[in-house]
Amino acid sequence: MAPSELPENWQDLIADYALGSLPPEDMEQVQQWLSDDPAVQKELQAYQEVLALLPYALPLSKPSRRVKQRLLTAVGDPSAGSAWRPRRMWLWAAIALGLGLVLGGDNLRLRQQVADRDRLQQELAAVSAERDRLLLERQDTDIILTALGQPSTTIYTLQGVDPATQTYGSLVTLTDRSEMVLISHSLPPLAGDRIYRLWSVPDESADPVYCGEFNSDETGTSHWTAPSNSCVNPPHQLLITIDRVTDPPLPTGRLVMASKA
Amino acid sequence: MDAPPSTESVHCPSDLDLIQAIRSGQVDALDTLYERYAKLVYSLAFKMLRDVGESEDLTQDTFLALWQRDIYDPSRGSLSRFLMIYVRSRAIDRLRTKGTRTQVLQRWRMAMKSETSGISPLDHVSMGERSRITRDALEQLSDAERQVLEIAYYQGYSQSEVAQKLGIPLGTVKTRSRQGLKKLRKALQQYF
Repeated sequence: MAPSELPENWQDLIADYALGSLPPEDMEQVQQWLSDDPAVQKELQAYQEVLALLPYALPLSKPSRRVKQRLLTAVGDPSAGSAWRPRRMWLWAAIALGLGLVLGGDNLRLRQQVADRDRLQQELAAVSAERDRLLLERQDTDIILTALGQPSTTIYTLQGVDPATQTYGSLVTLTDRSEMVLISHSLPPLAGDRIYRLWSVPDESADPVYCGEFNSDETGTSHWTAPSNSCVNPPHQLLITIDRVTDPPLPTGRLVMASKA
Repeated sequence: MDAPPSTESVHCPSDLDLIQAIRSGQVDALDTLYERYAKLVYSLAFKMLRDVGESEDLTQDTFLALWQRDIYDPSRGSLSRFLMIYVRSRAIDRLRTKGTRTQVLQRWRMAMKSETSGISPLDHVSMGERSRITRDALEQLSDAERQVLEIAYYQGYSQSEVAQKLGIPLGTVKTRSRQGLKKLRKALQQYF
């Protein structure tokens, strides 16, 4: 079927189909076009690709590093940490069992072997945990060093508003890429329905501008993309609040950190 | 800090190269794909679910499904598009327990099921550039057009539900949605 044989509003119908809002009475006709006409298929594909681009306009946040660790563990990557630990523990158990059999019947020595095995397992687990921690730190360091190496980098210092918490941090912004990295100390991870939000106050009389949200983790490094270019312009002051994830992006949350005005 | 998803550099394998490597069991390829798309996948999940834990679970499940179940068929369009459809569908599945979005989900899935071929030119553009292009395209829409598209897309509402939520006639929602989508298509026509 040539496009010329289609009704005048065929593109509207394909747009409605892509939006999932095509009336049932038009459904059979549109599906027939789709099976017969490559031009109609191409039109639908274009609308679908356009819709799939919408999330690119969101302020992008990186998930916590534990997501990647859990993923790599699940697929059995040895460098993910916990996946190889059970295998090593099994190895130690097999060695200990073999030694026990060789010694045969000597319960005292067997108990000693078992105790040694348990101690070695604990030490191995501790070494594994330290290795995982160092890997995370190295990843964070790589992010920070990359940021600091950019000519467009600016660094701001923030302090906790409650002196008792001894919270402080540095915000690194990459002006040309709208990237932000916060390196914080004593900023606790928040529970499921709470999130930290960054606000930029352009000048003394202006309202704070929403500049993205993040959560903290054990590494103290958070990384996200600024939702607007105004966020990477030099501000009068920067603020960090705690909000519910469902709250509208208005500066009404509890203030926890601020830069000097 | 994203690796640009270009096919032109030896150091930046294409999405298709990575998918093929994943099929042959190369964990490094999954790692690279994760670094390329995790922010986008997580951000969409979080926008829809508004819960850190659930969004992290969905992010992990998405990449695990790529590894374990070979769920992506390149003949149906770009990986980026597939991931967005997959995450959106799964997020609506989760939201469904809080309401009834079954019908709109089924219609979206049906609309997304058609055979397509080829990879869009945007697959050769960095993630940051895709964000800029999309934001610029959205600037072409009126606030009202953008609003109805975003509510339907991120909250999984049918157009009737959008009309009810905004207190405007269904016909107005239909017109704004269609006009908004067509404007986006026009603004992005060089890529599709």
